[in-house]
Amino acid sequence: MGDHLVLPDQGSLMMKRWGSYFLIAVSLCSCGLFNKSEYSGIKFDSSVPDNQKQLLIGDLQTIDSLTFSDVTQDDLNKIGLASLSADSLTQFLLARIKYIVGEGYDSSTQKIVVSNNFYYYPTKWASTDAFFDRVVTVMSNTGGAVYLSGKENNTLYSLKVDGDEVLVNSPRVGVIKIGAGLFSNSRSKSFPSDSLATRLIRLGTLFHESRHSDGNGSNAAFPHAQCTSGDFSGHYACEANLNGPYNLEAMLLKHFYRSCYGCSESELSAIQVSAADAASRLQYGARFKDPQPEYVK
Amino acid sequence: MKKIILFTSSVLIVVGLTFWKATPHLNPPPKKPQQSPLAFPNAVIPNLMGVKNKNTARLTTPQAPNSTEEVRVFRNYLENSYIQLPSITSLRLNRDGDFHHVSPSVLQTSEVFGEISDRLKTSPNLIKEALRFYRACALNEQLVTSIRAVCTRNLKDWSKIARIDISKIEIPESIEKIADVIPSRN
Repeated sequence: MGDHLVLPDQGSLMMKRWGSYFLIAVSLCSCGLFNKSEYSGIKFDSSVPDNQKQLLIGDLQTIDSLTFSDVTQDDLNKIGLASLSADSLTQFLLARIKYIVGEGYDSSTQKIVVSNNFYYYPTKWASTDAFFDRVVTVMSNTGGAVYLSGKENNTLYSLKVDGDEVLVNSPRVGVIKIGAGLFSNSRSKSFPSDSLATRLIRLGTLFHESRHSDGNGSNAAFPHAQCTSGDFSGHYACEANLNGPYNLEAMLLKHFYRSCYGCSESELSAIQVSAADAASRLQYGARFKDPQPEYVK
Repeated sequence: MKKIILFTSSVLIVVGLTFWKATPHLNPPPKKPQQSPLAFPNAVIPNLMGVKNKNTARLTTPQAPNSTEEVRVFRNYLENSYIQLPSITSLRLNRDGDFHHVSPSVLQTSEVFGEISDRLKTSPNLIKEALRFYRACALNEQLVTSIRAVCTRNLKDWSKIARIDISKIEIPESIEKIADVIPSRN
């Protein structure tokens, strides 16, 4: 009897092949090659820790689950939208947030002078929609602050973010800087950073920051007003605009509260406290301001 | 002579001691029953006590019953929580200059509000006690504005549920304005 060549059967071959695919996929994932650095057009800089990135992506996905009722005309005026829906809110954010950078991102070292003695003759965007086609980074503190700094010093800057060089020619440039505080301060100790209530509170902060991408003239980037009295007297932590960041945040948190299904009483109270904090910043005599962002060519 | 001096000084000492003991100011003051901090809307935080009993309207409900153990324990919880509510002074001291977003110590107060709501849902007989807490908090000028607004919101919501008239409580307009724009449980 000669030796028989034993061929493996088809089933075990398939098993081995899928096993190899699985191992390759696991290796790639562990190397970070499958890690998302972008979500719906929002790019995450490498300075954003992976856990923060995942939480923020989850926050943005939470918008899809939101439902809105009893929306008043005053609410719509505050945000400047024709209707409040998951879709319209997502579009609002995507138009104003293009890059998210981490706490370690230092704009002073990433800033490039494009032109000295640059004279700012800003014009307004023709319409908000025009912005959607442009590859412009949205701002938060960093983008808006750099734009305002350039405007004050007659210097046009660009920012290096995630390998891109972003021309800072509008408050809408939008580079939002996030830090660990966004994840620790948006919740009470008893509920986790990925709970629905915490996500909704963080979304309130994101919408707050996104409003800093709007405005023109003296109101470019919707700056905070100096508090003349109250808890924050003397600090630039108040609101002189009815459609400014704090008032927008308060209005949205009111609606988010109603979408906090299955939330505990403590979580619901946390949303109330956050909304009250934002609403308490509104100054007497606040008015609606033109939210159209300005830009320079 | 020595004997006379010794006798006179002894008499003087005895007379002095007798008068000293008889002096009323040396009697210990009668102990007053300890009052709840909730009774003084403007004196919440002991170390800040600028106690000025404002002539605020009283809660239109009668004093809450204190017969049951449950009420006593709940009242104790409310009083302990009350003296720990964040004050404007503590907010200014603990913020390290970051006033841009809500303070963690302020947000942490949501635990107290949540606990109270949980208890009221299972024991509606505690609502009057909670309303006293919310009234005192809403009127306390030393507390953080946003906390006072949430207290006002809760005062309105729970009084509506319990059908208790709170219209005579004079909450400042600035606090009411905020309370009116924050989410309501009703």
